[in-house]
Amino acid sequence: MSKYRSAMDKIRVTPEMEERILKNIAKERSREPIKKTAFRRWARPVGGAMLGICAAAVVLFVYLPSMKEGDPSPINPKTSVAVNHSKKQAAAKESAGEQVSSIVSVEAESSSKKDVKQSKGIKARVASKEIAAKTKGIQMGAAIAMAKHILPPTNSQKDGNQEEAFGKSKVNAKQFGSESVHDQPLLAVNNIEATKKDTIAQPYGKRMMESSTENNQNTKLMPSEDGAKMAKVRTGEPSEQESSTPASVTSLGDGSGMSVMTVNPIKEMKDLAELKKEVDFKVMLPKQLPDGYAIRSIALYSGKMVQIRYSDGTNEILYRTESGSGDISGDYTEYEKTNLVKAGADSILMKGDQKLIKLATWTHDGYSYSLSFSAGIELEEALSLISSITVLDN
Amino acid sequence: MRTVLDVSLRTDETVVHALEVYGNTILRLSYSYLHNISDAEDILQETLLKLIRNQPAFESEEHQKAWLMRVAINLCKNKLKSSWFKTVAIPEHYEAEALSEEESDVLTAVNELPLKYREVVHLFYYEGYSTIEIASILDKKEATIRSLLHRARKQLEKSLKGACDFDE
Repeated sequence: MSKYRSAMDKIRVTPEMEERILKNIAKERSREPIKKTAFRRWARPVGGAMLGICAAAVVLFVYLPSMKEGDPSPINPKTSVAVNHSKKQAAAKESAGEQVSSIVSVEAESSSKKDVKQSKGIKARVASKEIAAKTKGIQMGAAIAMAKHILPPTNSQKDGNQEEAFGKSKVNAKQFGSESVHDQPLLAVNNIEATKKDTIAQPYGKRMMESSTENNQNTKLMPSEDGAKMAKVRTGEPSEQESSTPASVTSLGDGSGMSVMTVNPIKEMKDLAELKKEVDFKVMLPKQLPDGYAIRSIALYSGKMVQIRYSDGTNEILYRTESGSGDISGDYTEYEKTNLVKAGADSILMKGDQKLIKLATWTHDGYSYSLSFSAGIELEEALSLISSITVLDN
Repeated sequence: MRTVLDVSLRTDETVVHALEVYGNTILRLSYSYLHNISDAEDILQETLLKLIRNQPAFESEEHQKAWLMRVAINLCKNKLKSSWFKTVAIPEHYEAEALSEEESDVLTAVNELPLKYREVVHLFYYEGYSTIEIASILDKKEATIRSLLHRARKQLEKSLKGACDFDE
């Protein structure tokens, strides 16, 4: 092919051709000034920004309002509770006389006003329903107690008073099974399950139900002796897991305002001693950390998985262990390099780039382990860290 | 005004630099597609205009060369698709400098190859690109480039009756 090359070498840009081309380019440029180039340069980012603004506007003005309508906001149920209260007060008027019922109606009005105020507050708390629900739980008991104190129950007003109290405590009367609460001191699990069915169609409710299904298996919602406080009572023996994890009151968000106790699966530990107390299995921990690394946080997930975050101020090492087998790292990055390294009888799956290890996962004695290195680590260093893992002894 | 002038001067510099450094490469590449020096010159001019209009940021000289070649290839293919080019007869040989008989034979044999073989042969044997580089320039798989090269060699051997050295 040397002949082809020599033939092609004879094709050159001659000085005349060069002059012609430059002249033509200058002419072309005079026809299309810089404006066009400038426009093209800005057209894309400006167009992109406009599209973004349009999308944001659509979300703000179309999607969110529709979500609000579809969302089981506690506003409507509460308002309906207030209406129900009025109706019941009217019934009470007939049965118990005008004087008593007028007091009740004043209370009903005040409670409905409060409902509206509270519903506004709840609106603001839509983003953090769980936190709000905790507050609800606390307020619920207090408000019910207060209601009880203000309006001593009479035979004819008993139902109405309690419902008002529930209204004050931002909890829909429906959550207590309405009048059945008073007919039956204990609200059986079946009632809860029936309420659950209603909630399945609700997106938020469904999510909450999933997290609380297990907890409701052995629980009953019941009013306390004075009928004011509602508490979650276990029918069976509490498990160690739940006794060790903080519980919170969370709205189901199904429009009924149903509040249930949910168990936070993550429990932060102050130190290793607390961790050891909490777990009923042997915890294995690395003893020799790279220089500068110290424990930053300790967490127990669902009472099963231990997660310890080590940090040197900038980089982190995330250590996880749990009984069973499988990858518990939660790191699904596709790394450049994957190696199976033998360390004694164990095979450690090392992932990372050409030089450094970013993730190590392995199983040993029926436990899964993972170590994630945010900055990466040398293989030898990773192996020495893994070999230093021993039982937590203090 | 000063900014406009600066931009203008910078653009001129870019064009002159590109013409000096890559002018021959683009002209020859275009010629290998179009078999016509005037059309090749048009393509060179259009390529430089594209360079001014787009003003892309290049990481290296090699990047700039690859970009210019890719643009030139696209322009050549567009021109070959145009109805004018399909209907009007094109003069086949560049007469600026006299070619030896052997050179003329080889050039004719290469020019008679189908386009898909011709572009690969030019980039491989003249520009000296590897098959991986050609694959990236032409946006094809490396295996495809290898097989195209293989078939192009077979055809050239046939048309030149073995009087061709595929030394690389």
